[in-house]
Amino acid sequence: MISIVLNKVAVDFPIYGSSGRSIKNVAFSSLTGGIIARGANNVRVVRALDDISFECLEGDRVGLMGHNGSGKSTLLRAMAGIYEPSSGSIEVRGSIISMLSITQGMNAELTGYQNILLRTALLGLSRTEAARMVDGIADFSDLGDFMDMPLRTYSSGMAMRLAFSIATSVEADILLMDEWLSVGDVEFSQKAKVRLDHMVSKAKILVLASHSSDLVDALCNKKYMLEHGRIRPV
Amino acid sequence: MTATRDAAISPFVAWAKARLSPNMSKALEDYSAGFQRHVLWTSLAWFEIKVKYRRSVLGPFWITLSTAIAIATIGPIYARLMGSSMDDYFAYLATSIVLWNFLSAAINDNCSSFIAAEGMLKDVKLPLLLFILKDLYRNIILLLHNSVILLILMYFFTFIVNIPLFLLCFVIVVLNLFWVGVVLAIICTRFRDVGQIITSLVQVAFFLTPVMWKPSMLGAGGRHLVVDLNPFYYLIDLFRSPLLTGSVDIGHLLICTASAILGNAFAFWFFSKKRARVAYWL
Repeated sequence: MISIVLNKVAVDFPIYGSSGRSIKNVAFSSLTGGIIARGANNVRVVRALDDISFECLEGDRVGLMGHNGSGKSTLLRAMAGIYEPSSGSIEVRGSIISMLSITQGMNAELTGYQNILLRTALLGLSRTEAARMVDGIADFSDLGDFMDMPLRTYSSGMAMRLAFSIATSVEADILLMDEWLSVGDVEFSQKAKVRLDHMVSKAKILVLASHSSDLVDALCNKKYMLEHGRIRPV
Repeated sequence: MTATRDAAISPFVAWAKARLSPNMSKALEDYSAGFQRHVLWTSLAWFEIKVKYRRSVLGPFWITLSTAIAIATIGPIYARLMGSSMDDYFAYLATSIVLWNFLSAAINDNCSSFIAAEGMLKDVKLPLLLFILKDLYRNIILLLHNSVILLILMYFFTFIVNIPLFLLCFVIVVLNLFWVGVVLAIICTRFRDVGQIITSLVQVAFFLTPVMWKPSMLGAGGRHLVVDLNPFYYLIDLFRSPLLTGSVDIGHLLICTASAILGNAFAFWFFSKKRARVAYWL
């Protein structure tokens, strides 16, 4: 049973000033009673997520909405397992792909093909799986001879096409997306839409953070609003 | 194609997890996943080397060349200073410098293993251990490039090489670098000045450790606190002796093995306590 269950999840970020990050200051402040290195132990905490409880079941398309800084990306990262909750629990059943940044790990000095190998390794594919997919990804991205050229020679649109092709070639039970992916010129974006829709339809659970209420209304069966780290269904 | 985050957990890991606390159990998962994702950390290590030396003629052998020049110029002068014969001293110096470069690079790079990977760590859930392994692996590759110097020198000078012993000692040294790397990586992510402190300490250690000089040159049978209490000495001696004399002091071997076992136990415990916090410190 594919599912994500969040129970009273809180995520607190410690904000260290430059003195809080220095071992010398922290050590001296404990020796001198805080007089010399004032502020070393003043660690402020930002509560990014507060008492979040909800569940996603197989077949759910969950929409997360909210203003900038409301905690959408933090919540996605917590669900992806990047931030372990300061309190509460998140239980995930099933494989997850977090499409938070589809260009993460790509290197401008490496060729298109090398970047495919890098990205697919990052997404958890074995060498044989990646080798089988390389040609399919390269064909879809329509970059032709540029596949053998370093990424720094690409326009930003071309790089995004490559990133998109790689990201949409893997499958997982659960898909986490931070904003809907839209890349490329008119021609590419049409076939990209088909490919992305296909990928999303195969996922058992989709969690999408978006600013667009139209998109969330059209796509999602469960909608939540995040405000200052707190969640409420809409 | 299904992206698998956790491949089949080996029976040992499953058995161990049932008996460990939640933190330790997650730490074991991290270790296990880290080793399993060797495709990623070997690819990253190789790509990092390729990128660093892209558009250069010799690639990683530039470091080999500069090390060779340093040895070739320092060698004769210091042989004279130390009152040692060139034949004797040159092989010693070359081996010591090549190995020291590896030790100091491994220690310094591991300090920033997590910090350098901030982007990736905040994007996808990855085992922290992966980055320690990547940096160690990358430095081993560079060591292999540098060892070309030694292979060339073996033609001219006397090296008594004991390969099985060297491989055993190599594994023990790497196990020690591994646990030190884990501990330092965690501390340096939380306290950003520790990395610089370590760099300075390693630089000082270069002079206090028998790299350019032999313990016997100190007189009094080569026993001195700066040698006996110096952890770097034991590591570099373990590396060096199987290549120069074909044997190694059994006491040194035992000390390094004990350090590897106890150190890794400590590092695993420390890792289990701090692992979940690392993402928050980045």
